[in-house]
Amino acid sequence: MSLTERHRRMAATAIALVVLFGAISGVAGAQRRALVVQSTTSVRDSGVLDQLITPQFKRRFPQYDLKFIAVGTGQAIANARAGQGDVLIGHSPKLERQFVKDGFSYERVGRTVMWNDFVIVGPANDPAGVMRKARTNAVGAFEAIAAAGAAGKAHFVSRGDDSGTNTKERDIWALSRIGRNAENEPNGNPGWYHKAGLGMADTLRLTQQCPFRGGGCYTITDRGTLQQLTHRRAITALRTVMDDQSARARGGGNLMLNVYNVYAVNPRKFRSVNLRGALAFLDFMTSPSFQSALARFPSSRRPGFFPAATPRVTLTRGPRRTVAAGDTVTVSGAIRSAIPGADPLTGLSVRLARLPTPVTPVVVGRARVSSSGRFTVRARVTRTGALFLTTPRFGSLSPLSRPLGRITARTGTSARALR
Amino acid sequence: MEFIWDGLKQAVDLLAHGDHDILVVVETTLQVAFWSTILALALGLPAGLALGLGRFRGRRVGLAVANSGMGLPPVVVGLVVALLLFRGAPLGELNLLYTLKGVIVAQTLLALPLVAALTAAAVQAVPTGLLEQARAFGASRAQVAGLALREARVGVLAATIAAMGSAFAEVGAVVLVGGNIEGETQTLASAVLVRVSAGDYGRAIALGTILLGLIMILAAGLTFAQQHERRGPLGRAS
Repeated sequence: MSLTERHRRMAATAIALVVLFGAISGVAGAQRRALVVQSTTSVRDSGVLDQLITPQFKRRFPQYDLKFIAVGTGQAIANARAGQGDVLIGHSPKLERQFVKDGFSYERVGRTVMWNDFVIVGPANDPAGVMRKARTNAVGAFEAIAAAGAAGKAHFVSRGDDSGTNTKERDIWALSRIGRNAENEPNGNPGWYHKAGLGMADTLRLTQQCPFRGGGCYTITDRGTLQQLTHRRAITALRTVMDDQSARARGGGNLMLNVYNVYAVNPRKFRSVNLRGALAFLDFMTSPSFQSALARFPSSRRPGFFPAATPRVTLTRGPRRTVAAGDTVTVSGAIRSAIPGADPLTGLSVRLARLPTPVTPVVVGRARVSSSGRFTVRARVTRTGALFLTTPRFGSLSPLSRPLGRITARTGTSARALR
Repeated sequence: MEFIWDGLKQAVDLLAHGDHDILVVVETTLQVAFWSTILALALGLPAGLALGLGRFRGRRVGLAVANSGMGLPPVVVGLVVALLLFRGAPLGELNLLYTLKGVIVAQTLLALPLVAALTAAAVQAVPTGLLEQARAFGASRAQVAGLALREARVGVLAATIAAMGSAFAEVGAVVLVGGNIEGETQTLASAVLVRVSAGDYGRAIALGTILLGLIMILAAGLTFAQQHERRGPLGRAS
């Protein structure tokens, strides 16, 4: 064997060994149960996935192999409907309602996780005059852009991909006076309306570049993605021309809200669904620790999303710390969604529960929330324990668990109560 | 311009500090390239030999299929493989969707026509007289095939490089079948896509630089082996 040949063989063996080692080390250790999450892209593009969800979830639930698939909401729902997912994260309430109605969600109502808002961006010189005419009116802004577009002074870039943002955009056209087709897009394929077929970030870049003749480009985006791209200096030439939708504007103050919900896929539809893992993921997304981390991400001054899992409670009347056993305790107050301007939680069930041990709460009183968002719960307290307010899982929001403190039922009087 | 410079600096930093996330992506990329190339060779070499040397009906049709397979659109392959692997679909029981194995399967399908068609072309270029002579001396079919492969080794290595290169470059099928999951099925090329999408051009360029470096190192290694082979035996023979 010649020297050169030996060298060659050694080199070949070395390369093969290095590659093989890499191959083996990766294939081993894939024994954990897979948990497939079909999600909208903004959760990944905003950094929430990499920096919050993945590290925290892996630490708390090492038994699950989290597979996070980031696609548009339309595709995420289609994949989940095809049985290709255990959890769905969406931000298109309309599409999600159909998903729930068709029985694909395990829970009757999805759990709200977080929110931010949609804004309209355009070139700094604002050729359509949106800032002047419709600073806080999304429908008016679209009409101004359409008018300027017809005059050859502006363009509108649509995602055109059935994503949550695209659905919202078409909802706004539907409220406008602009002629529309069956998809609620401006009618007649006008030259100023462009369907990009791209993700949010790419659509924003296309809008900034605006490779169309005459005027500048406008688009609608969620604030989280916009902030992330502006922060990274990928978007520098666009400015927000419309935000902070006025309550008096067409479509109401809630029109531009962007709410993210999570769903566990119903195992009745697909037996292979990892329900335990899915519920663990839902519990994790709505847990106080994840929610408070969300409020501080990327910074507490300018978070990309606002936590929205638990309703906010303001007590007007709390229980006394010490009561005579058998006495009635009254707790009253107001409960509302964490999303500003959201509908009152009319009819939501509120329960007063006592916690003898951390795992077995005893419900001592129930009430329903009035149309003004108020509630009053009364209950007879016979034993000492920590009291707290809860809303059950199938409320229109994630369950609330608000501690009210430890209430002591006096023993001397409990004898009387027993008598 | 600034982005490019920042990206290059980041690439050096990431490599110098042995950034764990990057190493995982590099490892995934190497696994996909290695296994898909091995599998494509295992299936493609016999197919290429048969198509190049065999005398059977439908050989030309097979060759045409292999040749057009070289232009197989990755997104279509990805779509078909993904749909076949959906839960409840014919191959759903294999549980390959969103796994590295699934990605390797899709990439093998893309690399297979490359290997088969290029091998067929290479063995067809071997002088027929040589193979006729071997047959005349009573060589078995396997021996003739071995001889043809040895004579056509330059072309076969070119097929290997092409298969490996397509694995490094592949995005469409990887994303559709693998789901582009960080730490599991995300390759360097698909990671670039995500970073660009998130406006993180610096890291995108860093990842792209590493990818280019890897392709160059491995292609150079194979090229040297190819050219060495070419010179070595002849040199000794004289």
